[in-house]
Amino acid sequence: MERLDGQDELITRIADADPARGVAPLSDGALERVARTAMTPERTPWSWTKFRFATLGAGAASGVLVVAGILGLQAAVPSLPVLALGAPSSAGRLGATGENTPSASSGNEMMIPALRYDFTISPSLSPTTGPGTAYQLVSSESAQAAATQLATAFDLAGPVTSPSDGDFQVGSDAGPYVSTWTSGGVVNWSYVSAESTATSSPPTTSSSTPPASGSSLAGPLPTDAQASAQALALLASAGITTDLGTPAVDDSDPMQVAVTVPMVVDGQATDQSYSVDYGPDGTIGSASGILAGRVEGATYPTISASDAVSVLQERHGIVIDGGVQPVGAPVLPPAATTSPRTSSGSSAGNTGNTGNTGNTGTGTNPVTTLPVINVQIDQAAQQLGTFTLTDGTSWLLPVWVLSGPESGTTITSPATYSASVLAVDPQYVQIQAEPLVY
Amino acid sequence: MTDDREERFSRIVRDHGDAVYRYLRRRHNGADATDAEDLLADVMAVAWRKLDEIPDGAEAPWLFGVARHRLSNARRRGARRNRINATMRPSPPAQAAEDEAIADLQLRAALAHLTDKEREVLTLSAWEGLSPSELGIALGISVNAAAVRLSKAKSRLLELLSVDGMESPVRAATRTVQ
Repeated sequence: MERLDGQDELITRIADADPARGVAPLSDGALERVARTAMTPERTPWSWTKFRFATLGAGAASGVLVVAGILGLQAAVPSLPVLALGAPSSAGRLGATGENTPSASSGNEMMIPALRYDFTISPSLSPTTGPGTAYQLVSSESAQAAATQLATAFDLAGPVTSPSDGDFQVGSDAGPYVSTWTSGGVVNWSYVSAESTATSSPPTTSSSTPPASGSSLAGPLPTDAQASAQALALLASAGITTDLGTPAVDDSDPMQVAVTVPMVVDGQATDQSYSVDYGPDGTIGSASGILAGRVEGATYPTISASDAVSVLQERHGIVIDGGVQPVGAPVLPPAATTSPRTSSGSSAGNTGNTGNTGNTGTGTNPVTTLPVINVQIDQAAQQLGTFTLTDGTSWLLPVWVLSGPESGTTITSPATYSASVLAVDPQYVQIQAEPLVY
Repeated sequence: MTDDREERFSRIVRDHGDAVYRYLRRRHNGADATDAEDLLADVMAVAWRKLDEIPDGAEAPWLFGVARHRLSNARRRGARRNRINATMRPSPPAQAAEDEAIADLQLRAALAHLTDKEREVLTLSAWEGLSPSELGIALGISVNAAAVRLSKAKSRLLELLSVDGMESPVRAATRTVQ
């Protein structure tokens, strides 16, 4: 790539301040995952390391699918409701742009040239299974009413407006403002201060006007303890007082103190949390969270951590929808076609293929030519992850969070694989999604 | 044909994925590795869908243009719903990450007072190393317009850097936390 002519001192100075200077390059494995995810038809993007189950917001936004007849209501499992998970529909996804992007052709059996993951299980992982409780997230009020409630907590005055369909806001776009919206039946909220919006907005003063003296930048940041206490007090004023874990504080940024308050349900960690960022003088720069309670649902048998690794193996390391196999003849390589959802009634939830049986691939991409990434899963923790069911409700369901080091010829720098697998026994889970070809 | 598409796409990801990842890390507020990877996946999903529209030899600026658009919308919306993983998890404030991260506080203060367009053209030049022609592709403007914008942005930044007291608020804030 040609460099700009006249690499003058100014450009050099900016280059020297590159905030990504110390950022390690993406591993080959990460790039491969990016490629595969990008080529996967009609799935919301998902995270490998933070188990953000993408169906949650996108599923609600795109109109979740109704699983015909809840196919899994088999006689063998009459006592527990089957969890029908919704895959994103072809209506597009509501992603980073807020726009509905055109869909790839639905049902396109896309070849995914990729690498091959081989998983091994550390002997330290427990083979035991146990029960896991599902919790439904329920908002007792509308997003519009929540906007009013939160505006009070943030000391904002003014009418509730609706900048776009389903979004509600108190305050101006220039900030401060609080906005609310509903996703998966749950009210979400965020607060943005005027200073936060000003940072990315053109200045309203003349080009040569220096920043105003006496701005809030001059004040001290709160201590970690102060920030934690203030965050909890703020949440309490918004009516959020239950299921709060110990706040985590990040004060590495010299300009703000970031507080994250995790949602903890019955002692179990979840993927939900609240965040409040404080700037100088203890002013709130931004905050966000949900406004919902949880209702205890059924308790399901769960698979073991080693069975969860089997899911990884079966799904070739790509975990979408918690690793649940789609309804409707998913096209998998011969070595991985063992159905995880038989009517055997096995509470262990044996998900089939666990060995490195030599996936032969399909089409023009024989697996023997694919680079192999070896992962030894040596860490497993069960917690609760958020899913949206096809009926539009959001649930916290037991998941296994699995991680371990990657190795292989394509791994040029230390890398860690991480993914979450739904821990609910597969016989109680159904999902409708387009088949994938690996 | 399908294989050709896949081969080209894989090459694009391999050759430019890390550069786009860094672009996102520099600019996406609060971005950790996962955030940036997620955003990168979104950018690449667009690239896959519009592969035929990507000009040969100008893949990088084209990708930066897509990434820029994604970030711009995310900032405008200013909330976590706009993150690539639209979950209910909280997100950091909608502000430019480059403003948060760069070490030269005087420069930071000056950059913060540029317009988004001015800042973007400067950082694309300095951090991504784009030429004027590549800037034009990334910004969706002509080469001449890109060159002019870059020139004006540099002049404006120099002007801001020369203003007495430009950095004082930042320095004052820094002193308070040291």
